Amino acid sequence: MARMKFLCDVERCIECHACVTACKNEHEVPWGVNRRRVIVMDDGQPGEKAISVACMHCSDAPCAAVCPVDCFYQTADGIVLHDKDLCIGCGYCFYACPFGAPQYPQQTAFGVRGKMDKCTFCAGGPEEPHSEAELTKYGTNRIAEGKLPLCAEMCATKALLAGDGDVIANIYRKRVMRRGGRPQSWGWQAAYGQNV
Amino acid sequence: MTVKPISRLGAAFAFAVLLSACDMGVVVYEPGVYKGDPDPIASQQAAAERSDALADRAGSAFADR
Amino acid sequence: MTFSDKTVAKRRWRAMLYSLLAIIALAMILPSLGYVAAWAQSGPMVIGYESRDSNPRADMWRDARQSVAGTTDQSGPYTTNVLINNSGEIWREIRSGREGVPSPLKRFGGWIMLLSLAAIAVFFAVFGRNKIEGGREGLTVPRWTMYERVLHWFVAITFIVLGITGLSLLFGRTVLIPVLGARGFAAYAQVAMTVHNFVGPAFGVALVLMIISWLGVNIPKRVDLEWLKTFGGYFGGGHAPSEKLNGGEKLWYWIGVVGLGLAVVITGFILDFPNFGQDRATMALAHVIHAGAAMFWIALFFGHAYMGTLGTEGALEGMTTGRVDTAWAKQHHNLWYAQLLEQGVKPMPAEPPRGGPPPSAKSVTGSST
Ligand code: HEM
Ligand code: SF4
Ligand code: SF4
Repeated sequence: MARMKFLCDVERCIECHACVTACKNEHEVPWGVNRRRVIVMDDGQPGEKAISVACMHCSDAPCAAVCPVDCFYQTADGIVLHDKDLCIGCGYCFYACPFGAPQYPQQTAFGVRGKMDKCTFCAGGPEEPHSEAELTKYGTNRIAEGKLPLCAEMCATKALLAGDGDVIANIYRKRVMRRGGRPQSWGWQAAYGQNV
Repeated sequence: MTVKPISRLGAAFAFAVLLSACDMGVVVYEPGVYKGDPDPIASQQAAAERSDALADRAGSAFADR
Repeated sequence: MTFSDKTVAKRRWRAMLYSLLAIIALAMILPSLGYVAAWAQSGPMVIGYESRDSNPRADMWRDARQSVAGTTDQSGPYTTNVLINNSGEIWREIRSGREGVPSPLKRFGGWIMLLSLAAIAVFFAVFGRNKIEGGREGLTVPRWTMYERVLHWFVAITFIVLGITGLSLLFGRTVLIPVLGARGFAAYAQVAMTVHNFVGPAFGVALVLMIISWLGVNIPKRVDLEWLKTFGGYFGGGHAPSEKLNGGEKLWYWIGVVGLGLAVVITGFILDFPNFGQDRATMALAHVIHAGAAMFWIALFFGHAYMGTLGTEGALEGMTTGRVDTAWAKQHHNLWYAQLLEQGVKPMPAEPPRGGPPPSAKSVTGSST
């Protein structure tokens, strides 16, 4: 069975922010909510690196462990999704997530946040696929159409890889073999407890 | 004077508690959005059906040409 | 009420109204200061870099694993510039555990509350109710003012509401989802969280007022030590001298209300106002202290509630009517009673049961319960 993962090839990422823009546009994510973001380490210094991050769809996901209403579930191919009808906006998944993936529309006094929103691996949510309800709550469902997440598919340098962990790890390994240097499967240790 | 202040205080407090449920964030029931629990067998089947298509897609989308 | 004097009732009513209004107004104003603080604050913090003598690439990945911040152009209240946040994993293990590792917070918190209840049940079974010896005298002296009583019951009721709603969030997945179902519990949890988050600040303000008002009568003295040595005669073995509050009550004040209370209130405010912009690690730490101290406090509160109602005959009426029987006062707070008489306070006949004729003083004897 396939196991969906993200992998960012840091040697290729050129900090163009196209993945962020594509995601926002595809799913019509509101202002202030970023399902995907680009973080630059050592910005402006020699060896600066840009890394694109979103929900990594962890095995034994911390967000699911702490959710007081137990609204997370994992699809058979490892995508971590949540039910916005159950979410109470407590913020706990945001505290627990290693990657800062959970987002909320509000940050107001008395802990009012609104429903949590995060990357769905373009797999929609617990609604009829391609329904109006799914579109407004979770965004489009590309996986049901046999397509991979838009951020990775449109990445100009093919830095961002998404898909079955074995398939994308193979592609990445071939690249590293050809260009030399050490592989860096960023975040896999924290998300899946393993390295490539 | 038949109502004790403490009962009034209790009533006022109960009212305040009920009132706080009127917050915009509170969704107790939304008509037409009920869905059953996610079905593990359906999920399994769907994942199996799409896994080949998605693997092909990854091969063609990310491999260097 | 035998006071046909309507102005007294009116004044009480007004005092109660004003203290309530003050509590609610302060609860609204204090939190808003967060916006001022957030406005004054500058942008995201940039961590400085020390000089490196090792491989910069390896250093960068080590930084990433150790929650060192980078920069990001995306902006939003929950959009962070940290690649991996390690505090989350630790917090997750403490609050929820993982496969095969039970959550210490739920485990110890749950046990301490259950043990407290069990200990009280055993105590009650063995020693029973602490009765007024020789019965009531039918004369009463004033003990708590209207203001003190309103404050006490406001704190008590909100404490119970906050305790129930808070524990629902923590234990709901184990206890309530099987009963209410996922959807039913989510609906309840939404209301519970909202109530907890809005009632909490009002509770905090009232608690601080309570700490201030009762500081004077809670100064520890030598007699309190003597009281504690014999546990006030609750285990048998004679009586111990006591002022207005005895050694046990002072312990409850200092450990429960001041110590645990302030811990719960301060961390509660940190959790309740994300608009201050505190980071995830701070919130997670605050959460563990908040929930841990709250459950410890609830365990102590069971003892307090037992002592004030079932455990000691004649104590509850001090906090409801404001007056206590002179026999109770002599038995439990002899030094305070002597002081009252010295100040020229005259014991008055107890208020009669509503509608009944006033009993003459001293005629009511030995009726317990
Ligand atoms: C100033 C007073 C208080 C404030 C501002 C406050 C606020 C909060 C907040 C914001 C949370 C995080 C949960 C959420 O966002 O829904 C929380 C959790 C909690 N509170 Fe309070 N609270 C207060 C008093 C109390 C009291 C008096 C108790 C118990 C007697 C209590 C028990 C708890 C518990 C057990 C949790 C943990 C819930 C969980 O882990 O899911 N709190 N509180
Ligand atoms: S990355 Fe965060 S939100 Fe995504 S599955 Fe892991 S813990 Fe949950
Ligand atoms: S914010 Fe929503 S999804 Fe996240 S832990 Fe709280 S209830 Fe669960």
